[in-house]
Amino acid sequence: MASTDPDGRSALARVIEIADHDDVYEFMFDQGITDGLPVSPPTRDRVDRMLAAAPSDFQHPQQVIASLPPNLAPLTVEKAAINAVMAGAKPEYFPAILAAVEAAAGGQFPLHGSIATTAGLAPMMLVNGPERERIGMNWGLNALGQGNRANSTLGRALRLMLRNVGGAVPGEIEQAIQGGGHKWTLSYAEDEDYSPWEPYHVEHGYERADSVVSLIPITGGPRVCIDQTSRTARALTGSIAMAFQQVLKPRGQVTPTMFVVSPEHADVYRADGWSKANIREAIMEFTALPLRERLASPTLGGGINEYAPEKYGLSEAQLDMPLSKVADPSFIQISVAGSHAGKWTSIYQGIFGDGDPTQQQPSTFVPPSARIRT
Amino acid sequence: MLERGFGDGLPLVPPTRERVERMLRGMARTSGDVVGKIPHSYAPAPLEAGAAAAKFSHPSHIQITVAGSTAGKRTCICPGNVRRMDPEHMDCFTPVSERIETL
Repeated sequence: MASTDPDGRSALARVIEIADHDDVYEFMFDQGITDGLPVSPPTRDRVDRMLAAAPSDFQHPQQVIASLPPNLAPLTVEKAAINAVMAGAKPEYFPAILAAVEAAAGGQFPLHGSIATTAGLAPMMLVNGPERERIGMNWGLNALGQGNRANSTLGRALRLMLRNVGGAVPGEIEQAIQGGGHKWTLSYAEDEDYSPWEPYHVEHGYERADSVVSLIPITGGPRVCIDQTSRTARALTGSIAMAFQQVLKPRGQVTPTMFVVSPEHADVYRADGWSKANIREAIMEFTALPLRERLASPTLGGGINEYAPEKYGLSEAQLDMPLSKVADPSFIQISVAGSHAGKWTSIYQGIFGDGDPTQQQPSTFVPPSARIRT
Repeated sequence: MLERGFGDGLPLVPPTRERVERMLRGMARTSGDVVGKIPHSYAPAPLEAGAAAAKFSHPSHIQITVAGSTAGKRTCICPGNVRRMDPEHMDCFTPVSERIETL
């Protein structure tokens, strides 16, 4: 259907006829427009229902809302709706999906870099505020696993747009070495009521009544720290810090990382009155190694380039300078989700962050985010 | 299908009679064969159910699905020692290799 109705609001996307004897699901696999799992056929009715749920700022189907890498292709509201349908999203999820697009393509998130790399980076998506309840998201049992439709499809809708509009096709421009489950979908909501801290979005400057999508670029996870016995915040953080020290490679550093704290681990922090700043400070302390121990080692493997001391003329004093797992405490991002039956913290790590040690100018990490419009 | 609680929150291919029959075509097994008993309820998994579950993913994967449910059954019911198995589930035990050969 290459036509538009008189008010100009109809979709313009080409309608693909599928012969009666063809199986529509097989057809979509054959077209290469899926991520390997079945997609919901984007029929006219379904796409129109999705478009009808667009927030008032996105009423025109042909409005371009983003330029999606790697091809820098224009993403219209209509194309967003088509991919949201295919992902299996309900119309009421559409405002959150559009916010995810804004957060991903707004310039703060390294969207092009995360696709055009062998690292297999993908956005981990956290939803806060009243919207997460309105659309029935899960922040409890199995919040980061399968089963909940909103959790499952929000992240997938964004990935399908990157594939079908942006051109991020594995084996073509997308060259992830191994990939992982996080590249299909990874979205969850925060347990704001049980968290001992202010909600994640409030920490980052939004009002509690706002609904917000925040994104963290990750290479994988969860690396789960299961510590059922630590009864003090300090001991528990030591445990989590040692699990964190091992991500990517033990001697190397890492970019911003999300720590998803389960309610029972949150209880330990609540009991000792620890703030997120206390946790960050402790992780910086517990993971600190003298620079010389973060250099690549013939027996302990990779780290900062072993030629760095010579290349940069590092003094003995500089080689004793403590370097933590991350360059800045703000790289340690913390949220709360999960069931109340186990002391778990899941670490979703970024990518290697080792650079020139003399030039380490820690920048503060602010998670790319966007308010969900209604 | 999603509202009935089937699946993992992502779209499913409707397991129509036609699709399920296509999945079963060419197999030595017949419809209604019990392939394994699936925890947690240990309900018998007839071949059709395996085919229907596979239909949710991709039709060319039927062998993997049947082998997968066999392996899953073996792992869960016989964790290394057949003599310690619950007698109720003894009838399920067949080495996976034999099962794969029959596919």
